[in-house]
Amino acid sequence: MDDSYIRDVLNGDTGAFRFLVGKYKNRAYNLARSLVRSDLIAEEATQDAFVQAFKNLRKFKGKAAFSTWFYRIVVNESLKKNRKKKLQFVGISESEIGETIPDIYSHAIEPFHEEEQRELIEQVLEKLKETEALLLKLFYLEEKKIDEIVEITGLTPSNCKVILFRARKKFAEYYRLKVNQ
Amino acid sequence: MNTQPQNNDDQFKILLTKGMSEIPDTNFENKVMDKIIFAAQHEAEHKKSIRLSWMFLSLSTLFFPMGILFFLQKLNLNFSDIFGRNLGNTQQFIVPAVVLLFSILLLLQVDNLVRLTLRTRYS
Repeated sequence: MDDSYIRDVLNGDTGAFRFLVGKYKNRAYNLARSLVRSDLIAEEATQDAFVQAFKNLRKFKGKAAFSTWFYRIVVNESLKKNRKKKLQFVGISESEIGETIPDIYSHAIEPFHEEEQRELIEQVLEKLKETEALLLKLFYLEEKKIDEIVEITGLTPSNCKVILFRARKKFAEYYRLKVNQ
Repeated sequence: MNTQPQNNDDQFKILLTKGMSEIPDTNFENKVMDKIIFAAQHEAEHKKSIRLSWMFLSLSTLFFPMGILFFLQKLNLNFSDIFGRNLGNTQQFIVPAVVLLFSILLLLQVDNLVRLTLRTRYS
């Protein structure tokens, strides 16, 4: 589906890019938001990412999914915005692997309204480090595999797995605390 | 009562989906498309300018030496008229100097233009 629109854009139909903007704007915004932690800056980063994607569309060879290629741009643009904070992708020790992740669904949030649920999960995600929140979203929301996450973030596969494991664990803990509050 | 998801992965997916937020600006798509159309126009103009630069560089490479030679010939005649003697030696000095300066200038321009063209093509 994306491919035909990309071909149209490359053939000079700039308007076809609107389809890609419509399809990926919220996903890209959510990823950017994990990294920059600000609605306004996340929106700017998303806009810039789309413009960069358009300018560099000829470089997209279709080896990976368009989303993987585009999310890499979103991450780069977010990191650019975030440079002042000197965000770093920090690896952690392998020893953390093997711990169990608490079951989270037993602390259901169903009694909350939709908006409250969203805010609650947003608050929990904000408790995590930027990279952790980003990896959780890439893995669970975007259903990206580890090798795709590696391509998007530039992390090593083992780092990805470790950070993802830690993120799940922290998310479950913070979430349980929030729901019980 | 809710059906409990199969495993922890499903639970995470459900929760994170619930936590997804939408871009607050309802005009986001139009803003992005405006920027993109501007970028596309800018790129087209940039490419056109590069083509024109190559054309004028080629023309100047051809016509500038011809003009200089013509001018020097005229200059030589005028000096001869004014001073009443042949300035052949002066012309022998000026021509190589002009050729050298022109060559340096031409090489610098070609170098800059090649860099700009490649950067535009591969950026």
